[in-house]
Amino acid sequence: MTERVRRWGIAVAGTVTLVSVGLLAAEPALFAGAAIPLAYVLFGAFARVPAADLDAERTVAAATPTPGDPVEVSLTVENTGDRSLTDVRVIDGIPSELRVVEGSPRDCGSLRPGDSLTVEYAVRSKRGTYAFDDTAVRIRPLAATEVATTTVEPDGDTALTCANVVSEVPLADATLPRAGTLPTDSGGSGLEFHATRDYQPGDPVSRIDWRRFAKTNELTTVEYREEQAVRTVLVVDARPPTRVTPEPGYPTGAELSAYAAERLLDALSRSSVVASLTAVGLAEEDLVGGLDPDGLAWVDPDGGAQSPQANRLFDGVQSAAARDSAAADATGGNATAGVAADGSGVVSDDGQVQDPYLRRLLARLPPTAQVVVFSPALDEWPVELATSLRARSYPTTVVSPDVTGGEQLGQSVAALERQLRLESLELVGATLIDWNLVDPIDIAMRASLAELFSR
Amino acid sequence: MTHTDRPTATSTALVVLATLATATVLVRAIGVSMPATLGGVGAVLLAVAVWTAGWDRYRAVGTALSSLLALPVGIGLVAATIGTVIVLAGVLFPVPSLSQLPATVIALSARAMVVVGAVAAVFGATVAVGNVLDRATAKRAAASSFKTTLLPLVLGLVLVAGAVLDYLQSSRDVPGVGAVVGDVLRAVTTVLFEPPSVRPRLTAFLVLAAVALIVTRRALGALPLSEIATGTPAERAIESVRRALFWGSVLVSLGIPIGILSDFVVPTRQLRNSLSPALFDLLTSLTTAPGPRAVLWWTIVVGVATLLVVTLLRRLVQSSADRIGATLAPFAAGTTVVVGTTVVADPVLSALIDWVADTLPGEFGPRFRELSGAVVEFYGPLALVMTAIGVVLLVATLATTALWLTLLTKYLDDRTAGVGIASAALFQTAAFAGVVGVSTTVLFGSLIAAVLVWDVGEFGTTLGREIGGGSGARRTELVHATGMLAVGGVGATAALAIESDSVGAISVSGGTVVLGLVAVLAGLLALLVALR
Repeated sequence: MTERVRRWGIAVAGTVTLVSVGLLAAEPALFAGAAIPLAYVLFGAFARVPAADLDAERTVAAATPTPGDPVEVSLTVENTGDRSLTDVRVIDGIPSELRVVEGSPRDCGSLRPGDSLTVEYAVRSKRGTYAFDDTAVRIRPLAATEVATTTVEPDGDTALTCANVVSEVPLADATLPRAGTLPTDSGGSGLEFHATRDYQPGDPVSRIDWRRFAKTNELTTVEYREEQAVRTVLVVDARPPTRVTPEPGYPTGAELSAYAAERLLDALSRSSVVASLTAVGLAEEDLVGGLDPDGLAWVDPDGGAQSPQANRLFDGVQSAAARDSAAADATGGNATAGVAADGSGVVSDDGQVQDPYLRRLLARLPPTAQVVVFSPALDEWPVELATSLRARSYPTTVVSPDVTGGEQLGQSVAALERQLRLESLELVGATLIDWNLVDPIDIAMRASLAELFSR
Repeated sequence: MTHTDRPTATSTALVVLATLATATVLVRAIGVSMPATLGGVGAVLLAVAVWTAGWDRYRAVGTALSSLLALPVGIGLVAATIGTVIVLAGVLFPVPSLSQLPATVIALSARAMVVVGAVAAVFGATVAVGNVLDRATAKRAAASSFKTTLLPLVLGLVLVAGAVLDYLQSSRDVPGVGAVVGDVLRAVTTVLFEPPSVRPRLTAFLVLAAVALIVTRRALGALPLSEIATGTPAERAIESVRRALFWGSVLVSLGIPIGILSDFVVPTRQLRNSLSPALFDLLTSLTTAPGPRAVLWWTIVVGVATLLVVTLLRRLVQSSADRIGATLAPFAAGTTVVVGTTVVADPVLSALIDWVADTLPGEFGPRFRELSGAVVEFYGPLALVMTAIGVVLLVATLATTALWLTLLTKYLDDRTAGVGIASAALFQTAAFAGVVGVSTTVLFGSLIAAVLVWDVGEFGTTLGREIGGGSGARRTELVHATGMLAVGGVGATAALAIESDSVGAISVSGGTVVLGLVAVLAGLLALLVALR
């Protein structure tokens, strides 16, 4: 697309002024001087964009980055034609979801035949695959009175893929002594010896201690440590207050929670633990196929994080977060915008559960389950949830990504409030894993798994 | 202002350098450095004032700075215009013969226009740094400058008017202002507060009573009584009091026409007869007693004061400190200017008169000193200096307002306002310098500079918006600037060729040559239209 730019109005006016004043004042120098602006006007009028032949190549540095990591991108545009281009402006087509965190995807240069121009920048990666658009190129002649805007399709990398699940097992040293079971302190049938007691009629013959009967002629029954098959329920807190980021372009608290849950789900499925997954706070339109009738997004995935149900739920969290951050961008909100919401009214004074999410969640939980809550703890909701769970004797673990790390005053306040909430979480008896975003997620995961199975 | 419209550093530097160099060379060729320097400083300060007026984050501080800068800006602008004319008059006058007068006046005006153009160019170039001039900032700067002007100008005019009235009072046999005002006041207070107790004075009394009732009702409504009072009985009581006040005021207002009738239409005797004498006396003593009237008056005063305070407090609570500061800052600056003027009025005035008297040529100097002495004696130094400061501030206000209006007309684009002003002003400066007769080299050089300032500035602004000043931007800009300089060189060569060939042709005084030139001009214009 080529268009003319009218940028010599002032020179035209200057020409006319000089000619007029030169004639009026009978000044030959002024009259002759009109040739100078006129020269510019004529030069501009005859200037045309030269025929250009450009090649581009893009390189994305990291093949499979972790969400939140900066990924360096390098784009090289080469003038393969035989004419010099005095003014070439290049803008790389970054996926609109990704945010540039370093450098600029735009540059310009004067390219002789064979010369090339390299644009280097870094984007903050997000979960998923994002395709780059073609590179926009704008060429002007020397007088800049015409602009040609085209696109160039770069060779090389055309997409940034941010994989959630790494292929190697990250939790090698997390010992899982009883996969999928929870040892209890009561005697019964099982594998591990617990106690002996007097025989009672009806006890299984196989559990009678025959050696002892042979020695003492008394019937005793051996009890083993009773084992319950438990379900691990992963609760992702994706309510609107959690959809804030520590800095622009970084994944939101909800996305980080979902990411941690995905990693843990993967590890659990490798260890054959029966796990359920639920996300709280999604809207009907966020999830493909909609929510369950009780307003929760609940899946019992077969096959861990790779299962289609689990993926659908994680995608739902991501689309909710994207929808919310788009709205926040429009209103100029930042990380502290949604933090102020407090959890007052979640539980009323007489202990009645008020919050609909909380009520539905408690109703849906199986009677024997251990619960892992993933929440950035930006309001009182996770504390109320953990309190309610502990009151119903659910073993509870809270994994909390810290999105309050920032220099601003509001972020400092939010960080202090979050710290207080984490303390109250520990006070109600929940196991707490505070995930500092500077550390890799595997450290937090390792800690949470160890906590989960050391009971 | 959006930051994406910020021009690149290289182009800004080129624009500023080219403008400053060209303006300096042209002004030096004219030979008025002192007023031009003052004007240049004023232009830079004006740019700074526009910039600070546009601060969004520290609006109060920005507005205060912008307001305080109005005075030096005004001084600079006055120096660049009136100062230049005075200095040039000292150099060019007196003329040896009357026949040279028109030429000298033209030369003087042209040189003054060169200085004005140079000052405008400096302003444009300064404002192009960071692209701070747009409609919003110009409007804010004009507003703060206007508010700053108000107090000194009004005070100065009041002082001058007071001096004139004093003179009228002393020289002719007319009553002074004080006497007239006193008479009016006395008449009003008599009617309102202490009427003679010979007959009932219902009208003024009822008006006072009605206003007092209305004001009390409004004040009760404005005060946060219902918020403070807890419980329904208290609220109900307040409501009933307000209702009673409303009906009371309605009744009293209905009585006013009767009062007018009894006061001004019915004669005293007839009134006394129609009423019984006892009732007449009672009415007379009630409506003319100063006590009740004073109570009513003070009720009105307290009620209005309460209303004002409540309104002010509501406003203050609803707006931020920065906003209040931004509203008050210009007036504070105006007060500062007034205080400063009061302190330094005497020495400044005598120094100014001495400078003008010494600068003016020939016998104008002593005559000016004589005349100004009489004027100073008549008005007093404070009134004169205060008015002069007010006028100087007014000049700054007019300049900023003119800027804003120009931007409103969209002849200047917000994006390239600075370089547009710089370039147009340089064109004007060069044209007038050409009229005065600077050397051809300087003239052609300034014309190239004038076009280049626009070209490089506009190019840099577009580049800044599209790319944002990356590493490759500087090279591209330098390539562009060099290329365009070469085009200017070609133009200058052509101009030199035309000039050397055409000197003879143009100096011939004949209709045919002029006609031919007009035809050439028309042809050029037609060419341009065709090219577009």
